[in-house]
Amino acid sequence: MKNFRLKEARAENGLSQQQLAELVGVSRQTVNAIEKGDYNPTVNLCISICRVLGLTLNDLFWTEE
Amino acid sequence: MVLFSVFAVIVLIALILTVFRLMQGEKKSKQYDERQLLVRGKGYQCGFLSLCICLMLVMLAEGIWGLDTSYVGACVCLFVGLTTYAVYCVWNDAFLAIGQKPGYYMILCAVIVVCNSLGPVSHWKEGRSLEEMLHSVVCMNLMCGLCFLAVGITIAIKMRRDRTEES
Repeated sequence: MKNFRLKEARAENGLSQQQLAELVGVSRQTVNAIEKGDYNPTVNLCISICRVLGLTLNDLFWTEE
Repeated sequence: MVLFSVFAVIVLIALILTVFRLMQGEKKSKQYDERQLLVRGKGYQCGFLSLCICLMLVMLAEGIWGLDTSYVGACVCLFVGLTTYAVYCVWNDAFLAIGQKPGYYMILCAVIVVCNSLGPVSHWKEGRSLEEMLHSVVCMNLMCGLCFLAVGITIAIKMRRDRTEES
Protein backbone atom coordinates (compact mmCIF):
# COMPACT_ATOMS: atom_id res chain seq x y z
CA MET A 1 0.00 0.00 0.00
CA LYS A 2 1.38 3.37 -1.03
CA ASN A 3 2.35 5.76 1.73
CA PHE A 4 0.94 9.06 0.46
CA ARG A 5 1.23 10.67 3.90
CA LEU A 6 5.00 10.27 3.90
CA LYS A 7 5.21 11.74 0.42
CA GLU A 8 3.01 14.69 1.43
CA ALA A 9 4.95 15.31 4.64
CA ARG A 10 8.24 15.23 2.75
CA ALA A 11 6.91 17.68 0.17
CA GLU A 12 5.55 19.98 2.91
CA ASN A 13 9.02 20.06 4.46
CA GLY A 14 10.47 20.93 1.07
CA LEU A 15 12.64 17.83 0.95
CA SER A 16 13.49 15.66 -2.02
CA GLN A 17 13.78 11.89 -1.64
CA GLN A 18 17.56 12.21 -1.75
CA GLN A 19 17.61 14.88 0.98
CA LEU A 20 15.32 12.89 3.25
CA ALA A 21 17.41 9.77 2.62
CA GLU A 22 20.60 11.60 3.60
CA LEU A 23 19.01 12.98 6.77
CA VAL A 24 17.74 9.55 7.78
CA GLY A 25 20.86 7.65 6.69
CA VAL A 26 19.44 5.39 4.03
CA SER A 27 19.59 5.26 0.24
CA ARG A 28 17.21 7.31 -1.93
CA GLN A 29 15.80 4.08 -3.36
CA THR A 30 14.78 2.96 0.13
CA VAL A 31 12.78 6.15 0.69
CA ASN A 32 11.21 5.64 -2.74
CA ALA A 33 10.36 2.02 -1.89
CA ILE A 34 8.69 3.08 1.38
CA GLU A 35 6.62 5.72 -0.40
CA LYS A 36 5.57 3.26 -3.08
CA GLY A 37 4.71 0.65 -0.44
CA ASP A 38 7.26 -1.82 -1.77
CA TYR A 39 9.13 -1.98 1.52
CA ASN A 40 7.96 -1.99 5.14
CA PRO A 41 10.56 -0.15 7.23
CA THR A 42 11.62 -1.25 10.70
CA VAL A 43 10.40 0.71 13.72
CA ASN A 44 13.84 2.31 14.10
CA LEU A 45 13.72 3.68 10.57
CA CYS A 46 10.12 4.85 11.04
CA ILE A 47 11.16 6.75 14.16
CA SER A 48 14.10 8.34 12.35
CA ILE A 49 11.82 9.50 9.52
CA CYS A 50 9.28 10.88 11.99
CA ARG A 51 11.98 12.80 13.87
CA VAL A 52 13.30 14.37 10.67
CA LEU A 53 9.81 15.35 9.49
CA GLY A 54 8.64 16.45 12.95
CA LEU A 55 5.68 14.09 13.03
CA THR A 56 4.58 11.08 15.06
CA LEU A 57 4.43 7.42 14.05
CA ASN A 58 0.63 7.67 14.05
CA ASP A 59 0.73 10.57 11.63
CA LEU A 60 2.87 8.80 9.10
CA PHE A 61 2.54 5.06 9.47
CA TRP A 62 -0.69 4.15 11.26
CA THR A 63 -3.35 2.75 8.97
CA GLU A 64 -7.00 2.30 9.91
CA GLU A 65 -8.54 -1.12 9.22
CA MET B 1 54.31 -10.90 -26.48
CA VAL B 2 56.02 -7.76 -25.12
CA LEU B 3 52.81 -5.81 -25.69
CA PHE B 4 50.88 -8.35 -23.65
CA SER B 5 53.45 -8.19 -20.84
CA VAL B 6 53.20 -4.39 -20.70
CA PHE B 7 49.45 -4.66 -20.76
CA ALA B 8 49.50 -7.23 -17.97
CA VAL B 9 51.63 -4.92 -15.80
CA ILE B 10 49.23 -2.01 -16.46
CA VAL B 11 46.26 -4.17 -15.55
CA LEU B 12 47.99 -5.35 -12.38
CA ILE B 13 48.74 -1.77 -11.31
CA ALA B 14 45.14 -0.76 -12.09
CA LEU B 15 43.87 -3.68 -10.02
CA ILE B 16 46.08 -2.81 -7.04
CA LEU B 17 44.96 0.83 -7.21
CA THR B 18 41.32 -0.25 -7.44
CA VAL B 19 41.61 -2.56 -4.43
CA PHE B 20 43.40 0.20 -2.50
CA ARG B 21 40.69 2.71 -3.39
CA LEU B 22 37.91 0.28 -2.53
CA MET B 23 39.52 -0.42 0.85
CA GLN B 24 39.81 3.31 1.56
CA GLY B 25 36.18 3.81 0.59
CA GLU B 26 35.20 0.96 2.88
CA LYS B 27 36.97 2.63 5.77
CA LYS B 28 35.19 5.92 5.08
CA SER B 29 31.55 4.97 4.92
CA LYS B 30 30.73 1.69 3.26
CA GLN B 31 27.39 1.10 4.74
CA TYR B 32 24.19 -0.50 3.55
CA ASP B 33 20.76 0.34 4.90
CA GLU B 34 18.30 -2.23 6.24
CA ARG B 35 16.47 -2.74 2.92
CA GLN B 36 19.74 -3.22 1.06
CA LEU B 37 20.93 -5.82 3.57
CA LEU B 38 17.69 -7.77 3.08
CA VAL B 39 18.03 -7.61 -0.68
CA ARG B 40 21.66 -8.75 -0.51
CA GLY B 41 20.57 -11.74 1.56
CA LYS B 42 18.01 -12.68 -1.08
CA GLY B 43 20.68 -12.12 -3.70
CA TYR B 44 22.94 -14.68 -1.98
CA GLN B 45 20.05 -17.14 -2.07
CA CYS B 46 19.41 -16.56 -5.78
CA GLY B 47 23.10 -16.81 -6.60
CA PHE B 48 23.52 -20.03 -4.67
CA LEU B 49 20.39 -21.53 -6.20
CA SER B 50 21.45 -20.69 -9.74
CA LEU B 51 24.91 -22.14 -9.00
CA CYS B 52 23.31 -25.40 -7.84
CA ILE B 53 20.97 -25.58 -10.85
CA CYS B 54 23.85 -24.87 -13.20
CA LEU B 55 26.00 -27.56 -11.58
CA MET B 56 23.15 -30.02 -11.89
CA LEU B 57 22.75 -29.22 -15.60
CA VAL B 58 26.48 -29.62 -16.18
CA MET B 59 26.46 -32.99 -14.43
CA LEU B 60 23.45 -34.05 -16.52
CA ALA B 61 25.21 -32.92 -19.67
CA GLU B 62 28.28 -34.92 -18.73
CA GLY B 63 26.45 -37.98 -17.44
CA ILE B 64 23.58 -38.35 -19.88
CA TRP B 65 24.77 -36.78 -23.12
CA GLY B 66 28.44 -37.50 -22.53
CA LEU B 67 29.62 -33.94 -23.16
CA ASP B 68 33.17 -33.13 -22.11
CA THR B 69 32.70 -29.82 -20.28
CA SER B 70 35.95 -29.96 -18.22
CA TYR B 71 36.97 -26.30 -17.78
CA VAL B 72 33.86 -24.75 -19.25
CA GLY B 73 31.38 -26.46 -16.95
CA ALA B 74 33.04 -25.27 -13.76
CA CYS B 75 33.60 -21.74 -15.13
CA VAL B 76 30.05 -21.34 -16.35
CA CYS B 77 28.60 -22.48 -13.01
CA LEU B 78 30.81 -20.12 -11.01
CA PHE B 79 30.16 -17.12 -13.17
CA VAL B 80 26.44 -17.78 -13.48
CA GLY B 81 26.18 -17.77 -9.67
CA LEU B 82 28.26 -14.63 -9.33
CA THR B 83 26.48 -12.81 -12.12
CA THR B 84 23.06 -13.70 -10.74
CA TYR B 85 24.02 -12.33 -7.33
CA ALA B 86 25.53 -9.12 -8.72
CA VAL B 87 22.74 -8.43 -11.20
CA TYR B 88 20.06 -9.12 -8.57
CA CYS B 89 21.71 -6.68 -6.17
CA VAL B 90 22.22 -4.00 -8.82
CA TRP B 91 18.64 -4.35 -10.05
CA ASN B 92 17.27 -3.95 -6.51
CA ASP B 93 19.58 -1.04 -5.63
CA ALA B 94 21.62 -3.00 -3.12
CA PHE B 95 24.94 -3.29 -4.95
CA LEU B 96 26.29 0.15 -4.14
CA ALA B 97 26.47 1.29 -0.52
CA ILE B 98 24.84 4.53 0.62
CA GLY B 99 26.38 7.51 -1.12
CA GLN B 100 28.46 5.49 -3.61
CA LYS B 101 28.39 6.70 -7.19
CA PRO B 102 27.73 4.19 -9.99
CA GLY B 103 29.98 6.00 -12.49
CA TYR B 104 33.17 4.57 -10.98
CA TYR B 105 31.81 1.02 -11.21
CA MET B 106 30.74 1.60 -14.81
CA ILE B 107 34.31 2.53 -15.73
CA LEU B 108 35.68 -0.42 -13.76
CA CYS B 109 33.31 -2.81 -15.56
CA ALA B 110 34.28 -1.36 -18.95
CA VAL B 111 38.00 -1.77 -18.21
CA ILE B 112 37.55 -5.36 -17.03
CA VAL B 113 35.43 -6.25 -20.08
CA VAL B 114 38.06 -4.81 -22.44
CA CYS B 115 40.94 -6.56 -20.62
CA ASN B 116 39.16 -9.89 -20.63
CA SER B 117 38.11 -9.68 -24.26
CA LEU B 118 41.74 -9.44 -25.43
CA GLY B 119 42.46 -13.11 -24.73
CA PRO B 120 39.49 -14.55 -26.65
CA VAL B 121 39.98 -12.06 -29.51
CA SER B 122 43.67 -12.97 -29.97
CA HIS B 123 42.70 -16.64 -29.74
CA TRP B 124 40.14 -16.14 -32.45
CA LYS B 125 42.58 -14.14 -34.60
CA GLU B 126 45.08 -16.99 -34.41
CA GLY B 127 42.45 -19.07 -36.12
CA ARG B 128 41.76 -21.49 -33.30
CA SER B 129 38.34 -23.05 -32.99
CA LEU B 130 35.73 -22.09 -30.45
CA GLU B 131 35.86 -25.55 -28.92
CA GLU B 132 39.61 -25.27 -28.43
CA MET B 133 39.17 -21.88 -26.80
CA LEU B 134 36.50 -23.14 -24.45
CA HIS B 135 38.76 -25.95 -23.31
CA SER B 136 41.65 -23.62 -22.49
CA VAL B 137 42.15 -21.07 -19.73
CA VAL B 138 40.91 -18.35 -22.10
CA CYS B 139 37.35 -19.39 -21.32
CA MET B 140 37.88 -17.88 -17.85
CA ASN B 141 38.51 -14.51 -19.53
CA LEU B 142 35.43 -14.96 -21.66
CA MET B 143 33.21 -15.76 -18.68
CA CYS B 144 34.70 -12.95 -16.58
CA GLY B 145 34.16 -10.50 -19.43
CA LEU B 146 30.56 -11.62 -19.91
CA CYS B 147 29.92 -11.40 -16.16
CA PHE B 148 31.16 -7.81 -15.94
CA LEU B 149 29.38 -6.92 -19.17
CA ALA B 150 26.09 -8.07 -17.66
CA VAL B 151 26.78 -6.13 -14.44
CA GLY B 152 27.82 -3.02 -16.38
CA ILE B 153 24.73 -3.09 -18.58
CA THR B 154 22.49 -3.53 -15.52
CA ILE B 155 24.17 -0.59 -13.75
CA ALA B 156 23.68 1.55 -16.88
CA ILE B 157 19.98 0.67 -17.13
CA LYS B 158 19.49 1.36 -13.42
CA MET B 159 21.28 4.71 -13.69
CA ARG B 160 18.93 5.70 -16.48
CA ARG B 161 15.86 4.57 -14.56
CA ASP B 162 17.03 6.36 -11.42
CA ARG B 163 17.39 9.63 -13.29
CA THR B 164 13.84 9.49 -14.62
CA GLU B 165 12.54 8.39 -11.20
CA GLU B 166 14.26 11.28 -9.44
CA SER B 167 13.06 13.87 -11.92
